[in-house]
Amino acid sequence: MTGIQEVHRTAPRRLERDPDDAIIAGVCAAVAHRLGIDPIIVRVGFAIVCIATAGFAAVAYVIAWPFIPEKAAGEPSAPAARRSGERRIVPANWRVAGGVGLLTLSFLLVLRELGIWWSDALIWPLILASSGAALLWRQSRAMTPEPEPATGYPGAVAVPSPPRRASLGDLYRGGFGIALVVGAVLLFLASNDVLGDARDVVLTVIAAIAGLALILAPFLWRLGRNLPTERAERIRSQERAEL
Amino acid sequence: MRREFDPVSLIGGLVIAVLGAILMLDQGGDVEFSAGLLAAIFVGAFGLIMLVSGLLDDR
Repeated sequence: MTGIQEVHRTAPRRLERDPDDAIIAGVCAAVAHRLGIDPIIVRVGFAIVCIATAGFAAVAYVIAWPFIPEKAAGEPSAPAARRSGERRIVPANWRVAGGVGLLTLSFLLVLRELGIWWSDALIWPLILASSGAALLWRQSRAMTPEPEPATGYPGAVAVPSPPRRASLGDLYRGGFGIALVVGAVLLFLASNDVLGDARDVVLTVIAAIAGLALILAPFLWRLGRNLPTERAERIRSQERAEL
Repeated sequence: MRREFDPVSLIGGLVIAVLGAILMLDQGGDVEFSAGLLAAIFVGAFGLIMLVSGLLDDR
């Protein structure tokens, strides 16, 4: 990521309609851009809400239209920013994890409707486990180095890149994925009364971990906030050295 | 202005079109879907679009 993109990523997002990214008036795209998610997600959500409210949500859309200002001419449009590699606030990994969780919920609901079902206690553990597994899978994939493309001459082979160093964000996502899977297992065991006497011990451990997380949260938060600045600084110094 | 091909929008549009067809069939009485099954279909559609959006974001 270049320094310019880094600065662009950390800049605050305003609620503005982008005519280049609009289907009707760009209200959904403006909300999506403000939230940092794909506009199609907001559009689908809006369509579902419209159906559920028998069209009242469409009235809200029309009301919101004049209240959301149009993007000033000359500013980069959202599609252009997407093409230039701008990252969204909700990263792809989290969308994949959420999508897998929702698909699991949908599958379980269908089974329940069809009568192929044995316990409601399984729903949340399965959703958490599938989301956590998806997050871990994405994380492991992101950490695997992709081989450099082979050069044009005959007999050239692809050279694997050196492994990427784990950043704080990688550790955070990986830890969250593990926590989801472990939480799912604990939830499943607790709902089936398998834990029994061990429940008190498990609760104590969870309380201790939660306490530690609360203590370390400000430090980790500060560290996470400083990372983009440090990275931009490092990129600038590298560019200066190259010059 | 010529728009760039966006597979997420294409898949999202297809999913919404299928949802619309299911709702039309249900309203017309051709097929009978329970509220629970419709909820499952909506949740699945939303999850599918989220998943596709996330998977195609790495391109």
